[in-house]
Amino acid sequence: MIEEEPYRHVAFGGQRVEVFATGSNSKSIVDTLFLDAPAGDKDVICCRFTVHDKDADRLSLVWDGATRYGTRSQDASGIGQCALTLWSELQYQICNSCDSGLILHAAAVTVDNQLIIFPGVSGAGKTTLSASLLAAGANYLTDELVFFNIETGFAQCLTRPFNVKHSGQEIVMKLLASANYEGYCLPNPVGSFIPHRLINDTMFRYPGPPQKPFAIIFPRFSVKSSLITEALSPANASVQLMSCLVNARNLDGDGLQGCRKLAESTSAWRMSYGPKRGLLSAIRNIIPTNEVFLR
Amino acid sequence: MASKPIDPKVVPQPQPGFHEEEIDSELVLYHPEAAQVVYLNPSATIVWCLCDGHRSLADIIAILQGEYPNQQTIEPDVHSAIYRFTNVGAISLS
Repeated sequence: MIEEEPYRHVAFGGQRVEVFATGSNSKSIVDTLFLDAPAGDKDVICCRFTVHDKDADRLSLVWDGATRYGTRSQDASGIGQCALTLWSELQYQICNSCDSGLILHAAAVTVDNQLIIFPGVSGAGKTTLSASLLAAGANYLTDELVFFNIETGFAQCLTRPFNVKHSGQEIVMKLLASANYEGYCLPNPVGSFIPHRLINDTMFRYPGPPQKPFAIIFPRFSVKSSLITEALSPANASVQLMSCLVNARNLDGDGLQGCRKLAESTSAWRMSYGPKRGLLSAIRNIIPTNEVFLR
Repeated sequence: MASKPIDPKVVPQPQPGFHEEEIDSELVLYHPEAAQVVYLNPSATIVWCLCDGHRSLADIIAILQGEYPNQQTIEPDVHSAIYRFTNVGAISLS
């Protein structure tokens, strides 16, 4: 049942996951989720997953030696559930094992080759924001997880397709207006996986290389909000970062010193925003181009 | 939101377990067992530093009114800060 070689590796936060896939449906799901994810075969393996649809009419997801999810191969909602389960479990396994740095619940893009991180809890608008910025010309890196290596000061992003929740679909679908997305999106119980390349294929070479964060922006989306930005002190940013920390329990002092290091190494902002255009230029305006500003 | 008045005679008691972390001249309270972290803005930091377990609320307000005679909102600001400290368990009013 399991092929000898993994179909894909996902390497993030010093952890590595092997994903095996057999059958066209399985490979399609794995490609949709992990096509642009960072890969590598040097880190410690924390988990292995297998998706297979060799059995007639059955799509199965296996890890730790047991079939955890099964559905009919032609069941679109079942396929979406399988993809969401695979993503969620892979994310859990990585975050549960990672103790070498901060894993932040955050979106990230590059603007003019500078890495901008948008930490936020669920519902803060990370996906909507990163999709809007991608449409405006930024390079998309992730709408979900960023790893900050405390020793090196470099950040790594776990790139995946946008997971657009039902509440954000209207806005993101407008960004897809000119794209032929039929057959590429993967509906799941909380929304849809939408390949970022459909919104704007910037020819960015994935996975993005680890780089030092240039700015941290804590986003807050509201349909009625106009654009408001406010600079945050390192102390305030440290506390805000801790609220977005996924692997705090693996870290000394719940990650406070790591959050402090990140907050002290870059500038931090709070940004309320609405659906109006102009986000990218607003971000360019609040980010100083003078590197002396950086600590 | 207006805070309910606190008896000015009450003596705010800092609770054990909270560590002070100074970051760039500002203060963060961190409670390792509760995995709790609280950012104190500059005015909350001053109120926190005045909560020594001996001064009453009236004492704290009087000190700040003496230091900042032109500041009109000292009393509600102190009440607000004390409420915030009690909500996170950093101060007891009992």
